[in-house]
Amino acid sequence: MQTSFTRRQGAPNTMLIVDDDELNRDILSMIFEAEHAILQAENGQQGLDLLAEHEAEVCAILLDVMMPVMDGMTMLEHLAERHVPERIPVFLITGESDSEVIKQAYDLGVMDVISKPITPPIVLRRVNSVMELFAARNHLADVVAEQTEELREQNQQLQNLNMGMIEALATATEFRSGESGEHVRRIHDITRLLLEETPLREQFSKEEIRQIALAAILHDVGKISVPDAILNKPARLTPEEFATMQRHTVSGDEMLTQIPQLKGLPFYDYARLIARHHHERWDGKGYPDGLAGDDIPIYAQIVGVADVYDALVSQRIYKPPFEHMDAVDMIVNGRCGTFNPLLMQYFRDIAPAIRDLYARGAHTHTPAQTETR
Amino acid sequence: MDATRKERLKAAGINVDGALERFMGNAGMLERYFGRFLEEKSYAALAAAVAADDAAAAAAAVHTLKSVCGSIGCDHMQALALAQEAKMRAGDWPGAKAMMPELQEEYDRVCAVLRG
Repeated sequence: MQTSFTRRQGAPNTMLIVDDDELNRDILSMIFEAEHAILQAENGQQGLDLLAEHEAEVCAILLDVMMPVMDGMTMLEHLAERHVPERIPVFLITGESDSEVIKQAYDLGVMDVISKPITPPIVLRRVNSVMELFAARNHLADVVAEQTEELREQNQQLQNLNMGMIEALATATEFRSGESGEHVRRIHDITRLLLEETPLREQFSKEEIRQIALAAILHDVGKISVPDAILNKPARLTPEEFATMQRHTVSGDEMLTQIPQLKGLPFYDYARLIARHHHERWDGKGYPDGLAGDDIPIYAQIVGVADVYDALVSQRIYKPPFEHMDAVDMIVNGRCGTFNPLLMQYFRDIAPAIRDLYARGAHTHTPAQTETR
Repeated sequence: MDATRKERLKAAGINVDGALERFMGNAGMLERYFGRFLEEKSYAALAAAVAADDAAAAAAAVHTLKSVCGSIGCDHMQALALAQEAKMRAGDWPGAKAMMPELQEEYDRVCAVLRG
């Protein structure tokens, strides 16, 4: 017999008929056997057993109510418990006229109740309409799942591109200062160590830590606006030049504000605050805003420490490199400005891990000078 | 199923057209199920259960009987079975029991018609 819908390749196509009466099973089989494989069960228990074995193939369940061993309502309760009627349409085909039973069956998730004695063309129509609905719904769900996966991949590509652009921007800044780009990578790593390996981790989620570490690499992005003559001056800066140099903090904040595409990214606020405040000091003697204590965002404080440490142990155009322990002591003793005492404690705790980080990575070598910028 | 038999069944109150529609026009299959009805145990089970005052067994038997009769077009027998089932469900066991002679008579008549 002709049906009104075409089955999708690989979709389930077996009708499970559960009725104690052979006559009814035969009539129902006859109606559907042209288009479907048929499974027959004589009672609810057999029906559940067959379903357990063939669930992936079953496209509909035709269920009688009055049966020995396990009746239709009991089988339906078992099905409802496992949410089967949400995936496979269940039809009650019954001589039952008790409206309470029928109502209960609908409550348990049957899609339609067809009364006996049945009229084949009507059964065919009603069952096929519902199966068509389920097939369309499953198809739609598949399409949505496919599209979701595509979107997820595109989103991942965009994120990778974002990361690439951000790293490119940070590296470009470093190159202008005559450094290799390793500096920003190390700042990223130290920032993450300080957030992950100390009690600071309790204040941030894993994702926030990831975003802060990423934001850290843009801390010096404002140096793009500092003239080469000042940035790479192989001599002590004049007070006026030093003031220009210090402007890189505010410039960095402003630059980030002017890239509208960055505003939607989760690291945007971190990046702005880090760029602006990573030269602030705990005692308020830093720049550009002279913030003190907890007014300085903790992540800007962390990047501030990481930045000073990296500057100390690296050779710079204006100074020679210091040994790891000397650098740690200088920072903790306030030789490079005052830092948050608690942060100093954490910094000392993870100093060995930081040293290991540098032992693995390459150092940069540029002509030496003295001064802190 | 020739025209004469079909007319005779119809004249005896068997809903042949309805039954044929149910069997999707397959008269051979309908005849097979007429044959099975004659051997079918649900009427015997009903009579035995009523005689033994076993209400639960009687209810199960009359339910099956009703279903089979409906499927093969024995509409009057189906109506009687339905009425008796309703009495049993309503707890009217004496009333259900009292219907047995009428059911027996109709059962015998239907069997004779189907055999003929």
